[in-house]
Amino acid sequence: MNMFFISLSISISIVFSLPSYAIEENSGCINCHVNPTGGGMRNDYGSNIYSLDELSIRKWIKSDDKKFDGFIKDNIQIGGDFRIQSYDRQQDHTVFPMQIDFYSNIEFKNNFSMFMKYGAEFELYLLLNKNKRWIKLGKTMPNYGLKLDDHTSFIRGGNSSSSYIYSGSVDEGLIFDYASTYKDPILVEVGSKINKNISFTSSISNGIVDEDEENITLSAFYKNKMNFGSILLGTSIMQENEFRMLGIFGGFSKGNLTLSYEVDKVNNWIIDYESIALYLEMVYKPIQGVHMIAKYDYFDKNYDLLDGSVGRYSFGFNFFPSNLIEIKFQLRDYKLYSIDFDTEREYLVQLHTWF
Amino acid sequence: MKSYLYILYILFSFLLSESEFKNVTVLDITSKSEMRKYMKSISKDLGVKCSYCHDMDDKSLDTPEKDITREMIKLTRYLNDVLNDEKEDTTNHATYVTCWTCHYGKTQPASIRPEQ
Repeated sequence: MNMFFISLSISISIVFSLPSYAIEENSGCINCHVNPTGGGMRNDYGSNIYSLDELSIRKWIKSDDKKFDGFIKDNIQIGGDFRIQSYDRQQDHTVFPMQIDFYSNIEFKNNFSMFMKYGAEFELYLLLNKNKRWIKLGKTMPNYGLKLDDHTSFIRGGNSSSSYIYSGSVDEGLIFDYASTYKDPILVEVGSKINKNISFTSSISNGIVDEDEENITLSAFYKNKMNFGSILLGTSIMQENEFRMLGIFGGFSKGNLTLSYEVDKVNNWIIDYESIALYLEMVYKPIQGVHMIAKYDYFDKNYDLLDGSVGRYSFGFNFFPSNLIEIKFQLRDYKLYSIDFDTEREYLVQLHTWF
Repeated sequence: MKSYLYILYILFSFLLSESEFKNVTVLDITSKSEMRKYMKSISKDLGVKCSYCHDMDDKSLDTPEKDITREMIKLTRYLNDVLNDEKEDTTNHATYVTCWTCHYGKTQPASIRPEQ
């Protein structure tokens, strides 16, 4: 079993980002990330303002004057994400490297930039970003739904155990597992912020499930900050021949509390089935640097919401002792509906560092 | 092979890259680190987050708060110039007035003397 997790972790390349932060800040992913659709490398604001001043324990924040922030020059930035996870179940205990990714981003003249990720999955794209509109060309994933930091969420990849990949396991995840099975496609993406509140992206690429097919993905969201809090409402669709995902996502934030959700209806992910995946998350921040988290994941491969479905409750907290370290503790419990499969309570501890 | 390409890419990037601030009309700062330091000082002096003045999806866009800030920067610059001119040694161009001088961590400076 340990070898399974180790081999799996080495093959995983994940785009991590935190939609709950975007909801709370009432901003887009572009606020903190180099990629306008979020994930991975943080930009100057994400690295030197949010990560430094607003993420970690306030009392422990030190002056950043001499800190290396990844900027070699003003327009050349390198970065990385590194994660190690300890996983405990009744009979299994394993520690494995979950993510080792290096990034670079170069800004050229006239709003052009080039991003590269070097890790288990190679990512490279050119970006023209001007006046809240951008064109992205390269090898990268289309923008669909919430780009969560937890790839085991059922709206992303689950524990890489969808029967589409590993027959005999529980069906519990969609295509964003970033296991080596699904490579980043060659893509052209157009994005635009239509007005203060509405943004959309559309992309065309070769297929993800089947690279000989054509993949079209559209996503749009509305965000606003009102007296009662910040809201986000969005929808995404991905079509690739017979395979289709249609989802709604969003969230609400007020004070120290942020709620987020996504629901996806998926056709032919598991061949000839119409499946549904659900994600609900509640984040409460008692103080800056401590995030208490409760999550619910649900996956039903045949859309009857009963037979053959799996639910998972997760409770835990994320602790940010500094602007470069995150420590996650999580307890996960499964509930299976008419599935003959052995599941046990899981305990996760994850160390995440970045620059 | 990928490693060599990556190193080559970094080397070439030094030759081809160029950064530019957009829509900076008052400040004469040219480096990102200096700009960040200056912006952080404003945010601390006024007790606000970046989003108080900036459109967070495109921080270069004009906002009403930015227009006010620009005038305030001109004001502090003028006052510092005047105060420096009064010193005999003008080589040491000191900063006597900052946002903090009046704002004390608040967006609105106190216009009424506090009661003792």
